[in-house]
Amino acid sequence: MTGMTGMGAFLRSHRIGIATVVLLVAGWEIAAWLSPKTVLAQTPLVPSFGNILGESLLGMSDYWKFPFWAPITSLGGEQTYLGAFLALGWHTSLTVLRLLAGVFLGTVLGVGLGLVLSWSPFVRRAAYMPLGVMRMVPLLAMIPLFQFWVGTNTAGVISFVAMATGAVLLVGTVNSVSNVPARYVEYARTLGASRLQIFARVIVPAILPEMMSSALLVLGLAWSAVIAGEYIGIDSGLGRILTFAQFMSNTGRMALVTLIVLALAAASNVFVRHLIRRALEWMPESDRR
Amino acid sequence: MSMDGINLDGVSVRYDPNVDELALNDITLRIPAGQFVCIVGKSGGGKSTLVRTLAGLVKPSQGSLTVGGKAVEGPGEDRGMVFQEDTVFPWLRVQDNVEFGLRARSMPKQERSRKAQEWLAAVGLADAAGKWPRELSGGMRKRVALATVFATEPETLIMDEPFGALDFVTRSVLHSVLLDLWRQTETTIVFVTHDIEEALVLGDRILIVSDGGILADLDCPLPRPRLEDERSSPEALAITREIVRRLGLSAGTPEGPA
Repeated sequence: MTGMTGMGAFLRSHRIGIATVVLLVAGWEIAAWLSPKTVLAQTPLVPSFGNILGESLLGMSDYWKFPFWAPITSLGGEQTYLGAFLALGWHTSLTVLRLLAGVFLGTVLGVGLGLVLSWSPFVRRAAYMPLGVMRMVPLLAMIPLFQFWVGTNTAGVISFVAMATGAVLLVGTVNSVSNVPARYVEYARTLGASRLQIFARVIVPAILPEMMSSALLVLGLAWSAVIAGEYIGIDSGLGRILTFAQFMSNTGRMALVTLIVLALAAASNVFVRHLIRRALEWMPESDRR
Repeated sequence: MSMDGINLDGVSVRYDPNVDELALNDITLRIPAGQFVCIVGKSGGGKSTLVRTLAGLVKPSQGSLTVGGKAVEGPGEDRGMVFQEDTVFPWLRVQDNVEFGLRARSMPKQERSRKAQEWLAAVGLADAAGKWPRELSGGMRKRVALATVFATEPETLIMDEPFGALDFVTRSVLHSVLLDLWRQTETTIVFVTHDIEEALVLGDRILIVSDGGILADLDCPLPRPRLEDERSSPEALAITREIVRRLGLSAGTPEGPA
């Protein structure tokens, strides 16, 4: 019963948002119904949800290349939903693993380098201008360079994600450190703390709140970076499925992959928000986001 | 001359080498060990600079400064400080806050935990050890700051308007907490305040600091504890009047109240 009333309360309090989503879906369906077909593949320019979750989803079994569990379509096997889900699971896992590895590497390098740069006022001043410029470098323009530097392989995608997230976190860390109220550092000094202790027990926790808002920004960026990295230069992952879908003007598959990424990004956002709440338990309620 | 206590000899502080203005101008001062000295004076007169120099947070441009016979090169384990702002670390629970200085001294975990408990009890916060600072009132957070600094057992305690932001009742309670701790530990205390009444309640001696120098050095030998009667005694009123006169606030002075 409580579940039902909870659901009812949720529907009531979010009725405007829900209505908007329903309208958007309906609008999409109407557009799908009205739109012409693509010249090449004869797929609708705007795929209906029926197309996305039917034909396009089934078509994902084309990307199952292992000789077990489900037929391989390029060897004459038929398209199966089992194959589709296996393929989606496999490629989604690859993308997520690349994202996690890239974010991990980017966080360690970005935050670590940021703390090192903040160690000395001289280095901080020296790094100020380059960091400001670095923040403005267009992310996607770096992809070709990364292909040359690291190669069109998993390492290339991971290092691209690491670069994208690390750059933002580096700038964020340097800024947050310079925003730490001087009184905390002075208090720690008068209590006899060494510079290393001040860094570990004052600076790092003090920058957490600001870094946490960078974390959500970085997460969105990481999803863009991993899909873009795969899109351009690797033979597996969700980004690669997008590339093939584009070759074949298969709009339904493009939309399907987009929906999957959207769902994953939303889920990771909720997860990170939860982590942030845990990590900032000490903050007054009113200061939390 | 005994090397105990605090000795300043011709100490000057200049914040900006390109500007002639001195934040402290040739201060010579001796504070015997165990004394409770209050510093009053107008804002911008150099009170904070003086005590921050004692704490080692500001380097003298000239002159020599020793505390307990040792030249001051920076913050040191023999000195502690309580600030006007709320400096209790919000990301550490109360217990960990009090242990902060002890950890910096590499005290073993059990010993510092026991010590922190003792000092929390001494400031009346025995039950708050597991709380976050956000769960405490401003007055309770000041108690945490007192417990933290006293736990490190400094020979000299520097306090820069520590209770300035608190209401009258909370402040009065904290005065008695502080005086109790002072009596038990025989710490030398240098206490900045903008409140003459507060100086009268606390100090053995009251310094008036103005324009980077010591304008007056007054004894305050009122009997303790200084309750309502002691604070309104003729001796107390005479000291108050003297401070008011020295600060240029008495009626008829050409400048008038600033």
